[in-house]
Amino acid sequence: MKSENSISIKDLDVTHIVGGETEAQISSDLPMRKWLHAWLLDPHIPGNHQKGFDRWIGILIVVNLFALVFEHVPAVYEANKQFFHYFDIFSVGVFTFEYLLRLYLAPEDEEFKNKSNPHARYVSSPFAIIDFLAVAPFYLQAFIPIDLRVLRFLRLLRILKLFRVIVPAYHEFVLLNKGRSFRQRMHALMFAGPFGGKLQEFFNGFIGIWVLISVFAVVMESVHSVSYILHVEFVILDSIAVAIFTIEYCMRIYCCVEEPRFNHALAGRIKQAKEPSTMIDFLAILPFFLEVFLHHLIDLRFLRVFRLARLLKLTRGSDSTATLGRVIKREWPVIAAAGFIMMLLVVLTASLGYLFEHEAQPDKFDNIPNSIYWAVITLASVGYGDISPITPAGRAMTIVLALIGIGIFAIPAALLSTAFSDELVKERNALKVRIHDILADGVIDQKEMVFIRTESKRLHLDVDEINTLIQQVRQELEDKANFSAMPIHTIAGNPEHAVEHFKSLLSTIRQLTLLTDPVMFEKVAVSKDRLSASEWALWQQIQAKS
Amino acid sequence: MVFGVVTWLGVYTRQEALKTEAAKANGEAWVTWFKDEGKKRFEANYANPACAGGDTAKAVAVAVAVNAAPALPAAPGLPEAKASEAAAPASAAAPASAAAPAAATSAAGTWGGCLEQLMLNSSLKNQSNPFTGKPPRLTETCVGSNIKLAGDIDIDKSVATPPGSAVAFVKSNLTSTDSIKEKLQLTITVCDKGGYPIKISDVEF
Repeated sequence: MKSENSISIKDLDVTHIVGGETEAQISSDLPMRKWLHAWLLDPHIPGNHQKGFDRWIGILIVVNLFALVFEHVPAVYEANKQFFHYFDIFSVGVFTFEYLLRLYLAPEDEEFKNKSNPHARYVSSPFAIIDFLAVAPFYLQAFIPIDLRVLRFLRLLRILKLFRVIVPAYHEFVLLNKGRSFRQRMHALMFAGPFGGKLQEFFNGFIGIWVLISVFAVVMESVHSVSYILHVEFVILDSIAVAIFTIEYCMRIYCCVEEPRFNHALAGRIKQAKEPSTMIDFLAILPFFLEVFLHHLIDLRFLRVFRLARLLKLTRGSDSTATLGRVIKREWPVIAAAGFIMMLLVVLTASLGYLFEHEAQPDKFDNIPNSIYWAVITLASVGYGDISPITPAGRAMTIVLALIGIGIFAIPAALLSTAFSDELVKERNALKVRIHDILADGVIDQKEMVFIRTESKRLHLDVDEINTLIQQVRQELEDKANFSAMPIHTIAGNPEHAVEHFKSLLSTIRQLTLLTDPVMFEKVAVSKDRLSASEWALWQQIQAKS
Repeated sequence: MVFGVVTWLGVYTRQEALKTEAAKANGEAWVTWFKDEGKKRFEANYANPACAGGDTAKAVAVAVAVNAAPALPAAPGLPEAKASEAAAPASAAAPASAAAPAAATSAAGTWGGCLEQLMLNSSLKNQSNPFTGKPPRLTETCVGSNIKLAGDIDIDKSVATPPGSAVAFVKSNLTSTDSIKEKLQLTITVCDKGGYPIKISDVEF
């Protein structure tokens, strides 16, 4: 039985399901304030600029936070003082504009429009106070001399503006998880599902941002001039990143038992810990702990480079990596065969190269391993030129080698590319079959909507492509809607089908009454007592109407 | 508990990072000293004759006897480390000045003489190695993974090679017997907590 949230196939709005761009339906005849509110701040109008507006403000807040951090690094701040100043002016300008805009549009806001003085109500609301505090110190310093450190501290208040996005997401999360246990709530936050809501997306985004920050820090640490100046900052940054990733790891291990496949207190958690993505999480934090605890025993500095493995954390949300893994697994025999041929070719040509060139260039072709290096560089069309043949036989062989190399090295790449594309086609076909099943009953429930949305995102299908798929399925379903071929209980199981079938039957009877000779029909029916009383009454009724 | 552990680790690693910063500050102080003195030491009335250079370099009788060495334990850069310590497992890290003690350093116009003088009179004598709490030693080189070198200072000199050589300069450790009568191109390096070198700066002395 479908829930009340189900949508009939006739009312299907693919853009809504897939979450694609829609054009906002906002009348240009609206009064200016209403029109502006509808375009910029109304969260209930799909396709307006509300989300974009919030997103850019959010980005500016985060950039402000970074600016504030870098202002505390004299080497960075002193050299770019002017830039920091202009950026501050720009930020305050944007935030002031936002504050004034919200103040102006307060009478249109759902929260304030029914109150006596919407402007005053807005000014005294918590979010407006936060917005005010974010810009006030800048204007205040024009009148009162404020200590630079106090000013910077006050500017930290700008971060509070993020609450404008986080608080509604938190409320939604609380609502979705009402009556659920602490572990279940944690699970909702960590694992994608119907209870996570926006907060889960924010959490994933937060982890993603920290992955990028920490990887960027690792890369910049290798630049001596930067790491010399920012050594402590890099250490603090790495500590914070590890703290966040460690907490995330522990949370995931703690709440994974809420997932059906890890549903066992110990075995489930071990199974989760053995998952590739969780192993990556573990490897992302391991170097830090090993270095802290064992640095006085062994030199573990080489482990630092493994911090770059944190980038792999980003693959958790991506199915493309899993698809690539499946493709490699599927094509492994062919790839292995190509690899074998390649190896054979390398060893043979390296041996021949050694044979032809060793005497002429004993310093370069001094042994077969060195010749292997030359063979691989030549076969792969890299051609560094540090080792090259000088004998006629060696040169002739190099010509053959270079020509063969182009084909041999291209085989695995072509194989993977074709297999990857095949896999995508296969998955799209599977989605089509699934959509077919979903639409078979004529309605789509919430769960099915989520499935279509997730799969279309995973397979990079846009609204038009999903629409085409749905149209195809609709057509196929209509073709199949030849009710005469369907068992009556199947038709009866679906009220939509039942009504259509009933109409179809009535239409057939009407056609019959029109085409047959009514006099002869009645004569046969009456004389041979072929119709019951009720059937006779129905015949009379239909004929009268027709 | 997890919050507690990660917070403690954060604080601990920051403290360790601050120690490295302090070691770098020690190295920077040496750079500043070399830079400042390098400008003045060729002048006629240079105040610190043991470090004077050029023709004006005077023969300085540095009356620092062998038995005077123990009187300098607080002197940074000067060997608290005695021969026994120098022969310890960290022999690679044996302080350069440990090999330099008194006997060799009394020669005028040499780095040894200058070093003894500056350990007595300059602000460098008050330096402390943040990793050991003792005065930083002058080491021959920083060797990665040798944590006993943490916080030590390595002073290398660059010597120009004859024209046509494959490399323009050759770097070697500044030893106590090295003459300082000519201008010297020095590189100051500090060993971090793992013994790895952190180059502070190149300086002309």
